[in-house]
Amino acid sequence: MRVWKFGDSISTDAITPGRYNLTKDPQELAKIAFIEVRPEFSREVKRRDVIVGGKNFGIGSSRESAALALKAAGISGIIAKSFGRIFYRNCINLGIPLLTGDTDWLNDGDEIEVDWQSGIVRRGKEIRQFEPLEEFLFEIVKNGGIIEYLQRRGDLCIE
Amino acid sequence: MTIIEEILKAKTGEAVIRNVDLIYAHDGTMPLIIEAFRRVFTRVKDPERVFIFFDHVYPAPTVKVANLQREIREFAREQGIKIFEGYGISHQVVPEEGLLDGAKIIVGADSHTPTLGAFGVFAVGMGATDTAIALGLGKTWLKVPESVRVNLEGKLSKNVMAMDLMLHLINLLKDFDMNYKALEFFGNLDFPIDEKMTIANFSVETNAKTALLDNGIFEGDGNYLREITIELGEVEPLVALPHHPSNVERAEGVTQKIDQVFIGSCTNGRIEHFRRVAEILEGEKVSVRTFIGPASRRIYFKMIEEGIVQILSEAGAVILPPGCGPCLGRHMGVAGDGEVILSTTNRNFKGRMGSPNAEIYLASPVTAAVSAIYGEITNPEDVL
Repeated sequence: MRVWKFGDSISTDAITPGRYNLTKDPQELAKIAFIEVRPEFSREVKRRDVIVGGKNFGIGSSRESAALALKAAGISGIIAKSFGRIFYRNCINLGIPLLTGDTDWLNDGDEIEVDWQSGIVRRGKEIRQFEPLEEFLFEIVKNGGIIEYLQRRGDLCIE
Repeated sequence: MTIIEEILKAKTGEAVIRNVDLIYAHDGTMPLIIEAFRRVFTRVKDPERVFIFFDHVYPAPTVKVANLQREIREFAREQGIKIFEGYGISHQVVPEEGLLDGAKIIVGADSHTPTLGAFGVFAVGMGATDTAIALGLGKTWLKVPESVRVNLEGKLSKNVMAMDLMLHLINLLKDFDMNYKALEFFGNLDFPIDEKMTIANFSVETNAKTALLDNGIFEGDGNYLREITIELGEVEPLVALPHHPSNVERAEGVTQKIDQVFIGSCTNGRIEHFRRVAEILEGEKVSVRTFIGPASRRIYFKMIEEGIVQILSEAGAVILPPGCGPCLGRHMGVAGDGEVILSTTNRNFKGRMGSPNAEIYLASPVTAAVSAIYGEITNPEDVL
């Protein structure tokens, strides 16, 4: 899994800028992901790549198109020091796993292996522990998102 | 208990499922909500408690947008949900049209939903899928956030507004992680409601999950994560520099020519704000293009009634229809490459108002109005 490294305070305006964000088609959204801050992203991203951010990844507007664009781009999950809270929920709801912790040691282009449930990240021989999602949230992600979770379970459950 | 613990009837840190008293969304977020809703539900649980507002890109500027809006109208008709078209910005219209109606737990598909915290209610912004679930089930899951208590003392000086207070606060909280936490305001809250809404609205930019202003009915004697006291008399006119609202400087120290001024939005687009702006611009002329965006139609009516539309038009400003205006960079005054915008809105992220090569500064309506006259960022204390 290749690391796509971003800095602090990447807003949803940076992920899917308002003036491009005029569609609900996931494939079209995938094409505009980071269109201005990282224009090569949508062309070069591969399935299962990992996005790594700094503090406050996904702050700002509630637009779910930001999370949807990244999902449609095929990423396997996002690791950051902290997340904007609406974006955090949006990712879980769409089945995108998240890990929280210090990301300074990860660099753009690194090849890593991630266990999203336990929070273990490996780069070569290096192994670091991140804070994984709480159990009831990981349960949602494991189902592929909260809609799939509801289709299976019929109701919300936080036990 | 903190105010939020009282409202949610649960302790800080607990995850709970709660019925939602009021749910709303807008033209920008509705299309994905409909998409998520249709995958798992057929009927909205309680359409009388749901409202849709057309405020973000309205009237429709392109065929694509017009078609998305058609879909929203169809969905609303099918589900028996009331749409407010042309009324103005959701967060303004909800209280103005009496839609709060005793609601205590509110979910809005917009990040500035906490604006309603000015009324002492728990209002949170959520994404499309969360909102779709609230529509279908009438409930949502919430984690009770830790709260930071802000005590306000004294009185703001004449040329200082709630926006300056909030720029002051965001600067104080710069190195403090407000993620998943809430702000609760106590003390001297003797502000007009228009300004209280500015306080709750801008709180979102500290990364707070929500904000509440004490309305006298809560204890607020709980375990607060942190307490901050602000002496209002010491707050000066402030400006947020590109590209983050917490990049705050004193207006006095900023020398910057500007190309465009926008005064309005859910942050600073209410009658109290335009009264202050009209006082400053009466008999003056703006030297840069200046757009005025009333947050609602009722505010627009009031501006006409009080002669403010006349005063601002004569000063050379352009009055926009009620709504979000150019705040989110989709229409009505989009920033060009290399342009400098001074705006009374809440976000100055790179690319927010148009070109990613534009620079956005944020300030109060008073600071924006004097700056519009001089064509550069101007400290109101120097000229008023």
